[in-house]
Amino acid sequence: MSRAEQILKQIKTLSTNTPDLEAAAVIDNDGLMIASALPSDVDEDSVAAMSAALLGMGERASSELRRGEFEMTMIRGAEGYLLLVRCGNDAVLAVQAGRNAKLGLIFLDVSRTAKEIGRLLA
Amino acid sequence: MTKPMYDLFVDMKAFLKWTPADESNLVALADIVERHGPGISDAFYASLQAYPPTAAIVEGRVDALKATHLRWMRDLTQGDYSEAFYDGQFRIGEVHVAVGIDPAYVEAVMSVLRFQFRAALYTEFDPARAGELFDSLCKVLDLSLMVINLSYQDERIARISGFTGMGRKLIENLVKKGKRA
Repeated sequence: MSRAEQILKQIKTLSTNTPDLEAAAVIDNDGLMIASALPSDVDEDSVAAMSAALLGMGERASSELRRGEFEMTMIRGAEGYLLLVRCGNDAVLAVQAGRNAKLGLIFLDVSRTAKEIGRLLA
Repeated sequence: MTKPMYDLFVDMKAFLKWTPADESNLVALADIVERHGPGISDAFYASLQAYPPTAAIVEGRVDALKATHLRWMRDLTQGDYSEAFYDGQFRIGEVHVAVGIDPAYVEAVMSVLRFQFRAALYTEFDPARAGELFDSLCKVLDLSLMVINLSYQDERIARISGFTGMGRKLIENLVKKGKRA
């Protein structure tokens, strides 16, 4: 199985096994899509660019405002959540979750998946 | 210097139909720069001093700036328009950014140089030769301006990158993909 296939398998497994997790994607630091399991009506290019930008700004804000080592960017809207975490040095894992999602479980699964993808990309 | 920007400079030379004749024409202008350069610099800085926003930028250091300006005009006629020329023009752009000159003024003040050089050339040469020399001069002024603008662009991206934590390629991708609000 190629590396791209392994990464896709990781995010599909994450989307399938984690309750209320609606979509996931892996994006490189330049805002280009590596792998995605997104709804068909979503503009992948926009998601990729926004995710990389938000992660970069989250890391910078965490550093500038002395919040310690960056862990996650989280956005909450009326319909749910967008979470962004690092996958190693070179990529971002973006996930969307519903408004009633159990965040504790999602944090654990997302963190575990991000580490595995980071290992695949290293 | 970033390689893609230098590649753009090479592309622009091709677009302008830059030829060895342009290079020899510009070398032939070296004598014009020596004899007319100080007067052209005077006119250049007089135009900047006559306008309050630019006068504030050059205030108190016009003599030093005129000497730098004369060196820049000599660079335009030294005969080598490859990477070293590009690097020199790029550094000029960086200095302009550092002192806070709006790029629009740099573009606008090039008109003064064109008018002044044209007057000098048509005084010194027959109209046909003056026209040839002026064409080459316009090309090198445009190339210089383009590189200075690239320097501005580079500095803006560097500042956004430094502030936001976003990488340069990401910012360039956002500009390409972005839609106007």
